[in-house]
Amino acid sequence: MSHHDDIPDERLYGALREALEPEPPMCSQPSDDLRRGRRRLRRRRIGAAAGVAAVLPVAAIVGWTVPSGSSAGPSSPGFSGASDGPSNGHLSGRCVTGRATAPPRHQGGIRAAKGRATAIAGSACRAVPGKPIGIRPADRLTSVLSNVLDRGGGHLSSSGLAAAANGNAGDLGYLSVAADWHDGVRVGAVDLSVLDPAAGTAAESIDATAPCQDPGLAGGPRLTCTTRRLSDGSAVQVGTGSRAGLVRITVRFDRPDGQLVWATADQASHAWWGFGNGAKPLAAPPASVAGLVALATDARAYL
Amino acid sequence: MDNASSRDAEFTSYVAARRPQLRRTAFLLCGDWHLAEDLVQTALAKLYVAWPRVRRNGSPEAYVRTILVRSHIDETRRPWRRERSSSQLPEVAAAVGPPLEEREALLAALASLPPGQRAAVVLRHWAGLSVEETAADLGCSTGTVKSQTARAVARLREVLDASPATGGRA
Repeated sequence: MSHHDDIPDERLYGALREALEPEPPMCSQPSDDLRRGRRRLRRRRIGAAAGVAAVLPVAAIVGWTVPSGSSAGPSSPGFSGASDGPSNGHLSGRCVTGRATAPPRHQGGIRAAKGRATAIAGSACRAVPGKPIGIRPADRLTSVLSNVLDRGGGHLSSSGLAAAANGNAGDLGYLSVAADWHDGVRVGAVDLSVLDPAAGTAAESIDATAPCQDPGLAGGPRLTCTTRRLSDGSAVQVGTGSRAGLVRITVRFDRPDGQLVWATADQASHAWWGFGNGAKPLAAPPASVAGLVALATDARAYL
Repeated sequence: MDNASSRDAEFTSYVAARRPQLRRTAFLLCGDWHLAEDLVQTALAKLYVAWPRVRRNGSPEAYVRTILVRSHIDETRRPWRRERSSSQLPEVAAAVGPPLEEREALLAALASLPPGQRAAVVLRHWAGLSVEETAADLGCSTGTVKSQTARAVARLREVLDASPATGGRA
């Protein structure tokens, strides 16, 4: 090993530069990024408004029961519409033409239909039955995550529990929430994801015959898959594997309503991970196979 | 110009200038152009939300790089392999770069690195960051950056040394 590895290496730079060839043309323009950014900002604001709206009834009751309290704030009529936005707005369908297509807007509602061009190969434009993905489902997934794996608190980073409709377009048919932890020696993350294949999402990349989705993605371990029968007769697929210090457990549950649920936990040494995940030091969560099965099959885990 | 217009103009200008380089960095982090595009889109959407704060701090580039690194790790846990889908990306012209085997070997070596090493070597040797800047991006100590980079570079040099096309360039 060189003693000068902290000095930029021209030969290595050249090799990395060449590894980029041939570079495909850009398929997204700055205006597309601006649109996605605005959409994300709008969603955050809706979420904040919905969060405030959810607190309103409690606040209103408190205000009402405290004789001397002022009720002017909580009873502000401006919040009434916000609580209807993300969780109740439905769209009749949409036209999808590609990944850069702007999703339709509907009074703050966020569609569950993912406009990825790959999911609609051969169809220039088709209506996709949609359902709203709002902040509330994300909150629900987050609650499931903490209720199942962190009931008493103290395992998962609260900062990592922030719900996120993952993806780039914002118009998604799947939702993921994640939580991080590290205990000073090991570092890890738990991810709970729900995908609605009917929403025209990345379902084409889901191979129904491959229960554990070979994580061929760089850095992911190859999983060994088994099927487990649950007491109610339903089945889950369990994948376990490790690679170069990373240990992964993933559970896939095909819900009767067609939605697919995954619960995945990663665990690795700090040395492997290489950098902090932003979480404060916490005890490792009980991310065992049983814990993840419970997570994936929890009845509340749906979009 | 109102605040929103100013924000949009600044953001668009930044994206226009930096997007290609961000996508290349993302590609070296993940090894897949489709996923790299997704990572950049995600990072830029987050950047837009945080733009006023990030702009005030004067570090949009560092903010985006950090998101790229963390988003890539997040992606490895996602159950669907979005990058496997065929897409409508334009056809790529015939390779004009290094021999395919050499390129594949280097990318495979990159892919085999743990995320910390990979991020460190890409930020140091591709993005050209200093040890201190890399440490700030990754949220770790400079010592960690040095050790992670050293291991990664050692592994990549093995690959380069084994390649007939590059072995003599050292």
